[in-house]
Amino acid sequence: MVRRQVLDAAPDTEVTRFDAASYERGEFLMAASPSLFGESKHIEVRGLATMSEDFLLDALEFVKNGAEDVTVVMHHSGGNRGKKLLDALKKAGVPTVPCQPLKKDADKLEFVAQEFRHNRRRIQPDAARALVAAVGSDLAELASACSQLVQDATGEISQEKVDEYFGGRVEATGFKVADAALTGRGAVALSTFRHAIATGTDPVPIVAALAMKLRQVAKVAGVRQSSGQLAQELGMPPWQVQQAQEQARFWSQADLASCLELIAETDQLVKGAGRDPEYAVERAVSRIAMSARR
Amino acid sequence: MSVWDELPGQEHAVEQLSRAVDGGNPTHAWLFTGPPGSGRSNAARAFAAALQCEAGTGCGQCKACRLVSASNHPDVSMVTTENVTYAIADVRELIAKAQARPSGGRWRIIIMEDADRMAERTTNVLLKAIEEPPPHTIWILCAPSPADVLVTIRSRCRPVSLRVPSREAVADLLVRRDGLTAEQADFAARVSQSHIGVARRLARSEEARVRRDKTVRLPLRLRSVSDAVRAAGEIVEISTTEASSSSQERADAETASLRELLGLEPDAVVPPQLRSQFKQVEESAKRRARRGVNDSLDRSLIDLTTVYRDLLVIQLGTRTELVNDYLGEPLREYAARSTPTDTLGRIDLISQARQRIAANVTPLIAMEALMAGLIPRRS
Repeated sequence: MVRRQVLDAAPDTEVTRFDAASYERGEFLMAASPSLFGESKHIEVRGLATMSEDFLLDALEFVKNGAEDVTVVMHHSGGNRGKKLLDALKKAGVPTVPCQPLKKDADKLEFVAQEFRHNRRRIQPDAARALVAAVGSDLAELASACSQLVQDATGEISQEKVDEYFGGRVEATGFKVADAALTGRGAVALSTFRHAIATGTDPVPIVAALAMKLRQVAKVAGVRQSSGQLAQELGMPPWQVQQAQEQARFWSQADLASCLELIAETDQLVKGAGRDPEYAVERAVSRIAMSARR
Repeated sequence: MSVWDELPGQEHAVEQLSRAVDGGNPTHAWLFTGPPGSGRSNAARAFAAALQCEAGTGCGQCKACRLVSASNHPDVSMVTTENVTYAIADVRELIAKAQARPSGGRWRIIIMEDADRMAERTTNVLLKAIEEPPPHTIWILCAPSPADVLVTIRSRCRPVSLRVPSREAVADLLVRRDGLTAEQADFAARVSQSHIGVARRLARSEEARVRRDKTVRLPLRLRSVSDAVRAAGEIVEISTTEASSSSQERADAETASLRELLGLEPDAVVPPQLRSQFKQVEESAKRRARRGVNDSLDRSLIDLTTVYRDLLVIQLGTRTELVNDYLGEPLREYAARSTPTDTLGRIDLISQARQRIAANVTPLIAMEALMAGLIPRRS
């Protein structure tokens, strides 16, 4: 947005981008110093949360002295690193734009739609959903994926286009595996599990996620109380109780008991009692999915 | 009065040990075995006192005897671990210590409690030291059973086996030493199944009694999976808060004394070059807390086992005394509703849960599986 404003005001502005983590001394000064032709400068710095010591020193210097015709945008993703610089910026009265992380998929879909609207392009809802499923965990990545599609593809963006560019990439977490397994969607659960393993998730947290979801379902299963009462009694957020209650429809008491036992056995196998932790979890996922009545 | 007085029901072992003391030239390595609560470490301490005794018999009166009994004798080291296993570095240090001559007494005695908490690698470090110690050094290892230590260690030690003392003997000791009434002592000795340490804690602490009562009544109120999962959560929660609060208190005290030692103000920022030392304190607190959680869960599981033992006694009509005699009526009702096969299966489940927790399975997951297995089947 700032970049767009700057470019609108002075189209010949020179844009420079840095990554604060791999910054080397002097780069900032070089980018910010006035050029021969007197055009204005725009500098964007990413990753302040992992900034190098060099960057900290140079940036402090810059904040103290300032420069004309230079706009600087810095991204800090939170944390304590570089607090000195943040304090100095605050003191200098630099405007801060707090960016809340987008957590819900609906928000991310909205974000994608907005990105495309800005560029006067259209994306089909299915395509947007596929895009969020593929690269949704990091907003910056999602934004760059959008701009890549805008630039490279022509016409309306369809799901096939997204698959062509980002196909085969599914973001998988233990919780997604657990949700699929507990609602009896065995095929989805197993493929998500394979994706999770392939992208470097350890089997142990997956078992923990399965155990947690199963625990929530077990807590509400067969209890005739409203979700509000249950939420209060169990100290769980209401949406979690509702989700667990929905999933509990798939379960009988006996199946729940045997699956709790299965989880304990799997946890032991994953933690050294078995030879192949991945197989142990796979077996647990498929058995849980089969126990859930569709 | 003598040092052997506090070993109820161990006449056999006492005789064997006194003979060794009288002989004047005892074996250099001993392995004391007996079920938990039979007083292994007390027996080891009594033996050490008798060896160091100025009168030569374990009189319990002389300075040496009293020092050993209070764990203050300079030549008797009681080694124990607060973590799940012994650290190999600590054992190496111990070996160096074993080479030193005794300062005042006749022997240098090293008592290792819970020798079963040594990993195989750690045990191997000990082998040579135990096989051929200097002439004045005596090793005493304690473990629940001979099978808990490596065979190479076992073959180098002279075994002393302790047995479970009778309920009367334990109750008698509690009355004599801790000044309890006969009734209190009898109850404590009965529900603890003659575990001396547990009996004393139960007799003294109201909280421990309430907690045990809650645990043993659990099977009677389990109805559905929902109950089971909540009960498991409760048990783990209690154990965790108990363990972490006591270990947190100690960690805070240790941090404070470390600050004092390093000359830091209580609210001063810890400089980066000293951070590792503080981190170490935190980590050892974490390890202690884990052991605490495991121990306390183990205690609950043992209490739980007594219920199923009683059920089995009723179901099989053996006419043996019930451990949880005060729950007689509800237990009899429950027993009528299930079969001995069920009960045995559940005892197996409990021991499986204990094994799982020892094998590093998340305690909550292990307990949930157990509780789900304990739900009575609807006939």
